[in-house]
Amino acid sequence: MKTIPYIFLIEDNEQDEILTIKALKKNKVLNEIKVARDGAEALDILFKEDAPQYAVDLPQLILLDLKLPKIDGLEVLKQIRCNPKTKLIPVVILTTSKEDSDLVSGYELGANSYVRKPVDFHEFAEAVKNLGTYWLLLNERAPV
Amino acid sequence: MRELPKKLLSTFTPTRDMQYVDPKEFKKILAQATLLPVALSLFLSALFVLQIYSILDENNKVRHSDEVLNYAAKSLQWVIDSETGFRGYIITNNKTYLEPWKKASANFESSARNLLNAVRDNPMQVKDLENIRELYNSWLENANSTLAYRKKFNSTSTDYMIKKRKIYMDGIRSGFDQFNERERELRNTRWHKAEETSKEAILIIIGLGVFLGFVLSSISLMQLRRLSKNYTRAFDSLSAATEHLEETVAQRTHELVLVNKELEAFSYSVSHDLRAPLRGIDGFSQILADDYGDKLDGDALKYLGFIRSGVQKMGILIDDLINLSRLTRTEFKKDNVDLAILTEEIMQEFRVSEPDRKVAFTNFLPQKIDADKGLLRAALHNLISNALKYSRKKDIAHIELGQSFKDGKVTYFVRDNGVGFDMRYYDKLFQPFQRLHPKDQFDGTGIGLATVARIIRRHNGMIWAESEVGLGSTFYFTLG
Ligand SMILES: Nc1ncnc2c1ncn2[C@@H]1O[C@H](COP(=O)(O)OP(=O)(O)O)[C@@H](O)[C@H]1O
Ligand SMILES: [Mg+2]
Repeated sequence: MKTIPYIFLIEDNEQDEILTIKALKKNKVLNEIKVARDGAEALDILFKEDAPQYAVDLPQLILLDLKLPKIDGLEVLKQIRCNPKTKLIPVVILTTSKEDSDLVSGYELGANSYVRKPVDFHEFAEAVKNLGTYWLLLNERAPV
Repeated sequence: MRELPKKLLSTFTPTRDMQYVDPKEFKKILAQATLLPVALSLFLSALFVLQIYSILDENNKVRHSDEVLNYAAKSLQWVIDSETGFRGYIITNNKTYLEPWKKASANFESSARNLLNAVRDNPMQVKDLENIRELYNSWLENANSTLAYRKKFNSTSTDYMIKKRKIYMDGIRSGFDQFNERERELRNTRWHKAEETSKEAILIIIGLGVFLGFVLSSISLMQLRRLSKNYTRAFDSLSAATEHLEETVAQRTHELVLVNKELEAFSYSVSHDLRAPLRGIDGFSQILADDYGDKLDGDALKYLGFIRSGVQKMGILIDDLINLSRLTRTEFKKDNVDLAILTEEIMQEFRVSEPDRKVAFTNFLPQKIDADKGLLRAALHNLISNALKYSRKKDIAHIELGQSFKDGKVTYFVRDNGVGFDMRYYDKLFQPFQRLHPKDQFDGTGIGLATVARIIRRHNGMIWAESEVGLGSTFYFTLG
């Protein structure tokens, strides 16, 4: 039996993690959600075949926070886009940052979308809803 | 930012080295360079005049000798005339010859007196002349006694006392010869002396002129050398200081860049780290309300609502703050901006976000101006948003954008017919987080006009406002 493709959330803030998952669940996104707490862990999970927990399949969508411990979000994005195995996975940048430079370098490195996490939970839930609809339902997953 | 140039300059304090060329000394040198030649040429002219006078003096003496010789020749002539007349009478016994004799002897007397007067400063000549006169007088006596003898004895003998007269005559001749000889010698020496004096004068004037010119030019040369040396030194130290200044500027610029980067990093982390906990508070209050609403009573839910609205306001405040700090950090680039299009775009945004408002919007702004497009858009957005906000209570809001000319400069304005503000608090108007209206009437953070003022200042422009409570406000600005 084929598992439902999972969503990979790379986020260091636990509260943000809970809120994101809540928002996804609220919008009836049923995919499994896997979480990495920093950039290094995220890269381990994606690229280390022998990693015990998450070696099964590749995620259907990556939600990437930019400000991460150890290896920052932009660097993670770069490595994802450089590796032939992962380069076609849609990556949505989730961030607090409003800095134009982040946005520009995010798109330059191949981010598919960019969601700014607003303070208002309603707004955030709305943004996640749009994002889920677009990247999980409408977009057929590109063949690996 | 205002302090920076002062700081830069403070590292460039002029040292004592800088006073190589004292303006007082320079003036002194200048005065010397002009007064000295003038004084020297005056001195040379005076000397020249003196020399000319002494030459003239010598020449006069020569002329005087000539005159003396002339007189002597004349006197001698009278002597000869007397003798000739007298001899004529003796030979012919004709008394008519006595007439010229008498005349000649009288003439001799006056001529000899003149001559004596002319040579009275020369005792040798005076003595000779006295001698001659004596001889002549003796001759005259002799002649008179001969005349008396002839009358008395009615004799016509010619040789009476003739020998004696000849001796007198010879004495007179040789006396005049000696006199003339001496005077001629005197004249020659005087002539030589005049010649010498002229030569001397020319030599002295030329020599002195050349010498003084040489001294003068060496003094000037020395002073010029000293001046140029001082100037070179001053120039050297100045260029060294300039180099130092450039170094300092480079250093300061580098520091500024670092500080700027630090500031950027700071505001970046503010925008991240301050907002993250707020998101948590808001999100979890929402979840509490959504998921546990049935377990909470009305008051608890109301309080949860307060928490959320407070948090959201704080989020807006943080965003505004970051925007404000970013405005002045971002690169400033002037472009050709179409104001009419820009303002129309802004109005369109408001029409979409506030579709129920009735707004009479007039736009008389010019087509193209030079400005940073992003910044100018932010400024106009703020001004128009205020105009709309503070005219909200009017049935029809009148918002007018336009321009006027003052002192050859364009002044742009945004005018509304809203509630206005109290001009007494004008000095608070452009301060960040200062508001002139209570929150329950008009919400806002008070950062808008501070942002506008910063943007206008970055364009080297000015901003000011006029208002009357109840009638409306006008915000004016210029762009450098
Ligand atoms: N068009 C206007 N008419 C009347 N008052 C104004 C107008 N624009 C600004 N003000 C006053 O200046 C204050 C500061 O403006 P601003 O910095 O834009 O802050 P905010 O609009 O967020 O209150 C406002 O609170 C208001 O009292
Ligand atoms: Mg405002």
